[in-house]
Amino acid sequence: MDKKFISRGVSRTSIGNFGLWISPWALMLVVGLYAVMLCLFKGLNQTNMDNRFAFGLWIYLDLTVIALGAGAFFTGFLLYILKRKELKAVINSAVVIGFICYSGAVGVLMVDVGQPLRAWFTFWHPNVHSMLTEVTFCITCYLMVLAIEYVPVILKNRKIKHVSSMLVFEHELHKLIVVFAAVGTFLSFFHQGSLGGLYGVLIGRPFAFRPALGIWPTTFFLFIISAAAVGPSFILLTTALVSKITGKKLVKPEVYQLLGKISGSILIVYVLLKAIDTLIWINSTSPSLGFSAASFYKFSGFGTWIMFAEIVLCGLVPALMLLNQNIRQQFRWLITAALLACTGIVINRFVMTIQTLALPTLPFDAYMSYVPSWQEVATFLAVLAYGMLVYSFSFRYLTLFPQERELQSL
Amino acid sequence: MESNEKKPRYGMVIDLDRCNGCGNCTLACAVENNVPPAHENANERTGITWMRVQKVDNNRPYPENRSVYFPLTCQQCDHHTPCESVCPQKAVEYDTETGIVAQIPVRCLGCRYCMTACPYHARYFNWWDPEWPKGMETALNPDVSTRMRGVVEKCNFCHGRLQAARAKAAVEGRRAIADAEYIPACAESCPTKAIYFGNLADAGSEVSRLAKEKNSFRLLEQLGTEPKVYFRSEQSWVHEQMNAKLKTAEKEKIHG
Amino acid sequence: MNITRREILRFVGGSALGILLTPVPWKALDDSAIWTQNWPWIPEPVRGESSYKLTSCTLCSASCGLRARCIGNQPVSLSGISAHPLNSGALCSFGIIAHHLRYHPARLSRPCRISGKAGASGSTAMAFDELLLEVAAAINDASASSQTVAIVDGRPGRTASHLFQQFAAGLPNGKYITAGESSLEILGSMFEKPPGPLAYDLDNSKMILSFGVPLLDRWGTPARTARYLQKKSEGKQRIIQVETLQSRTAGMADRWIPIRPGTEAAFALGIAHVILKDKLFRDASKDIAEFETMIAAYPPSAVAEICGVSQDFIRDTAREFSANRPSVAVIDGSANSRHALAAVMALNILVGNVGRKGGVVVHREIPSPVALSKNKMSPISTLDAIPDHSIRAMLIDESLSGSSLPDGLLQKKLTGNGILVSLSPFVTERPFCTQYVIPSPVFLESLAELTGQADRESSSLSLSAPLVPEPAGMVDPIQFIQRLGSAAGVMNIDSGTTEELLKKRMTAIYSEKRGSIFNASNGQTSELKGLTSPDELWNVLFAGGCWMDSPETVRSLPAVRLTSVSTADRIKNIPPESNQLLLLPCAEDVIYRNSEISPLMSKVGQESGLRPSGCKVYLQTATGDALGLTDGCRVMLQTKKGSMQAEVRLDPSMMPDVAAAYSALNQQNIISLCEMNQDASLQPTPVKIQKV
Repeated sequence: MDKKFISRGVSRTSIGNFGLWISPWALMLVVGLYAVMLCLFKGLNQTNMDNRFAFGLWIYLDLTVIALGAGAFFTGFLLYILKRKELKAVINSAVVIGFICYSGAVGVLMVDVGQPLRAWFTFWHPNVHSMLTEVTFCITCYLMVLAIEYVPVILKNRKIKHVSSMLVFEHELHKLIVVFAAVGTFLSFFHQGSLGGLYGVLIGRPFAFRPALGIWPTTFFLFIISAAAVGPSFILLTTALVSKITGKKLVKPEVYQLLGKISGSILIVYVLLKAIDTLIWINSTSPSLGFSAASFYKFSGFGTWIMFAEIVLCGLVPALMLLNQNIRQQFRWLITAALLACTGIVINRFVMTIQTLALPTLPFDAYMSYVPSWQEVATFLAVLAYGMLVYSFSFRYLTLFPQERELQSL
Repeated sequence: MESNEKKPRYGMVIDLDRCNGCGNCTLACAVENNVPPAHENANERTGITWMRVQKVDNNRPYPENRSVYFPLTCQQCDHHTPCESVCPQKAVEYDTETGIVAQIPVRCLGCRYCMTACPYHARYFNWWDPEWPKGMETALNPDVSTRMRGVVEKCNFCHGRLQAARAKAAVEGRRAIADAEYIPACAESCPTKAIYFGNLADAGSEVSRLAKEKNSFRLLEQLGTEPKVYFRSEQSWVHEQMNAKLKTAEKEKIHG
Repeated sequence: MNITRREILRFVGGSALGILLTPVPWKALDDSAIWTQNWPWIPEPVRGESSYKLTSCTLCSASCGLRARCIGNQPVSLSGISAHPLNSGALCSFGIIAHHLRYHPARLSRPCRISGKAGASGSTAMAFDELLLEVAAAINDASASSQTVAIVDGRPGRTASHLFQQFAAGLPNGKYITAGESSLEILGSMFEKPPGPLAYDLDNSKMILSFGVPLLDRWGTPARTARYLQKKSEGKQRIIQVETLQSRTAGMADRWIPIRPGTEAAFALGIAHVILKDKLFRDASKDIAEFETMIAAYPPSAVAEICGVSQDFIRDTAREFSANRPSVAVIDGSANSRHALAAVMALNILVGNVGRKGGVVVHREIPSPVALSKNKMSPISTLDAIPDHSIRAMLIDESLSGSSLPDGLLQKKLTGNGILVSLSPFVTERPFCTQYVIPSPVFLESLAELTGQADRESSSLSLSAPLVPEPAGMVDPIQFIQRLGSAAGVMNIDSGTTEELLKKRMTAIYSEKRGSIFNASNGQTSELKGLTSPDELWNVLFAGGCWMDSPETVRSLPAVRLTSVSTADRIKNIPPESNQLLLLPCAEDVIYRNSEISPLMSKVGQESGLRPSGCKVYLQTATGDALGLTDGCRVMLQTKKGSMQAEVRLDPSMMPDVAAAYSALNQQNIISLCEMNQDASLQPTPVKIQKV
């Protein structure tokens, strides 16, 4: 029935099966949107955030999702700027994932702020000293870039192609894609960094505060590098997952390995820098603010194990694994390493956002805990469902993996 | 010439030994600043108390336990004001003329970044729309606007009172206001006179004299944000408690 | 013309671009910005010129002078009058937001009948006249069947109080009962003849031995803490606080002696024992030898055991108490048994504090023409003296919040078909009888008279002026008793409006020419003699002023009997059984449970935890750990009397194995879980605590 929309030379499941696959996600999206409405119309009292835990699940999610979505900018950077042509096999998928992650994050942010209708005041009265201003400007612009990058993928749809002017438009746009990739890379560098700076500048939170290198705290650079490191791993994981679910070969094994190698090489740099940064923080930054680093780890739940898990288990270990060619060639280990790398970043963003707020600052403060409300969880799940739906439709009707046709005919 | 005079730096010294934790400061503040009564679901972490009194004890079990009450408000950081620099849309204002850090709720988008930035937990978010029992809205203070849900608010040393004092001085043809003309509601309402308020930049003022005493200290002074709210106590355990972390940290630095 | 799809698209696209060049989108953006900053449902303050009016607070008999900032006629904030001799500019946390009481959601607008009987709760609005008829019928019924009609007054000494006394005198079985400072009432009863109105002279005392009285927090004048800190720094006053909990007073006092719950009487008798043994007493009352024998069982060693404190504490306290004269021992009537009150009052007698400046003083009666009129007044009775289940109708004046009698006691005294008539600004529901409630004006709405000062050297009189109009249908206590009197056929009540009667009293005070007068408008205190007319007195009092009686010159007191202290029910330490704690009902709510407060009080309770709000139980951290309880967890409190849920707070200042419980207003009361003494005071009760 929808055959004429599906790309030539690839097979897709029946429309019925597709319907079965998307309906749970659609339901999740509807429930999530209901929660979103509750938050928008009744206010943020629908969440379990409070004056002490002013940021919660959503901000954590935004930071994580944007780090993982970094695959889009970094793959684009490698492909268009550094001319790693092999990555053409995944660039379309990366763009879609990037678009999902960024639009999802922006959507959640709009629910997260108390007065969404005033959000544009940031453009009107920007405070150039604020990391959040940087984040807002860059993310907004980059989301537009991603949308523009997404458009050619859509326009290449078998049916849409028939409209000649669309084809011309797509062609012209494609010629400009290098420019967009460059702009996107630039913007991404900034906002990934600013997201790191978001917490690194908090002088009032000695657990998160880091000294400045130039005008940015070290977390600015660590966030850029860590996002660049796990972006490819996340592309690798999503590609493998789609391949597993659909039972189709989508890219050549070399592409997986290349993604792993890129990820590993950057991750090892990141782990090294992160280790140095942590040592400086333990021995200098934190004590100079009157807090021994050990005092942050004396609370049940957040022992030093979390630091070990973040830097060694999910940092150094996957980095070394990904740098080893033998391990990379074994698909299962490659996946394991990519998964560990992504987990490392998920932990890092958790530590920066949630643990920072849970820890006391005043000498008589208590250690705080926070459990998100169902509305917060449902909103989060709505982003997941939204991503699943956008990706599912994109996969079905657009060419996300150019190598698929070739590999299918093998 | 007036320009030779130093600009005022308003600040407070709170005598912990005089505070009996009655809560008048919290209440007078809410009246002055039109803070509404609690929503039925509000709690200690979602309520709005620009001035909040917290009991702090020496962590010793009964019967050696001793406690003091800490009236906690915005500490009015004078240097690298943590909340001011993080606001994306200039809804936090540091007044260079007075040193007062004020929130502009009508410009606030409610991102709450400032709240995570403040180590004193002095900022409050409006989780609900304000509601007053029927008729009580007619008893609001005309000098302060009400806020709506979704924005952040906090202590501004009763800025409305400063404006009023200035307006009065202007009408009378004076350029400066006298010390007694401007006092925040919390300090005014304290039945034990535990809150001293005044100009820290004026070396002759009582607050600047008290702030320099050896029994005076500031919370998280080591962060370097130069808060303008001082506390004082003659009880040694209070000082030990407040500096506990500083000392451990120093020790580790020496040995590490 | 053929319209193609393309043309439509072009048109739409073109218009979209074109519209951006018009002011429309920018105006819309601007408007939306303005709208988001001014939601129409958010109230905005009414602007206007501000003015200041002076008056006196009616919330308790401390009669604080205050200044109301008004916009038009509307008071928007209250602050103390700093030159005022009674409160020196201080207000308490209730007073500072008392202008909100008018808007309390529980405000009563019409008279009604509440059938409070368990299971059949419901209220019926009725006209005042109709209500009077029903109440009058019950009163006549009581007179016919020689049942008692009692009128309870939490603020004795007012003109209204004297009318109440006339009303009670006009009935065959009428009783006038005060709910004043019961420790002083007990002391009065220890004299062979009534000595006159007694009061603690705390300002002039060198040492105050307080048995759990929140002296530095909400008891008497809010200026006390500042005065104490001043005197303490000058070495002129010491406070020793004997109390289980580390209250605010315990925290600030010179010494805190933490005793086991419910052992106040034993501690006092232990001190008495030392005083007698070491011959530290001053007043040789006739029966002192007999008293010594009576308390022979309370040597410091035994008392130390009972109270859980060292013997040295008892000896030292006894010595300091008798050496630092004038000293005074105080105890709170609402939280302790009569037995404990008597034991503590005996200390004042022993060291000769009674009738002495800085100890317990006798106030002079404030002139009252009503009290001297031809209409007889009933004497003051205590509720204790009235047999159980004998009151057919109980009238309670709650128009001014203040001391109140425990519900349990009221219930015990009422007959099965007994009714309770209360004059109150708020809906108060007592779940055990049919209740009639008549709405009275609140603070700032009506002319009210304030007398008293149970913590001061001399009594005072102030007026609270109506700053705002009262809603229709409100009844003040004087109107109430006059109307009820005429409905019930009690004719011997003085007539006249509230203002007329109060003006007559001013004339009477003026003609005595004694005492001093504080004028709030100029901050001066001067001799009453200096005023030119009663009208001037009225005007000064009407504007936040205050008349203070001159202290009674020393006069001989009637003989006193120490042996009226009973040791009949031996005070023992009640050790809780294993796996049980001792439940200590906390005074905070016992005192204030019948008075409404501004909704803004949530700031110091619900929103900050500064004061307990909701049902809370405080436990020593170690005790909580041993029971597996964490801070904030919910538990079930179970005693022989019942059970209820509460939230746990772990607090290192708590005594081990004690559970201090607070209950929320308008919720099941912690009191219902506690064993009650004969006099309706509460006993610490063994309790089981289980996590839910």
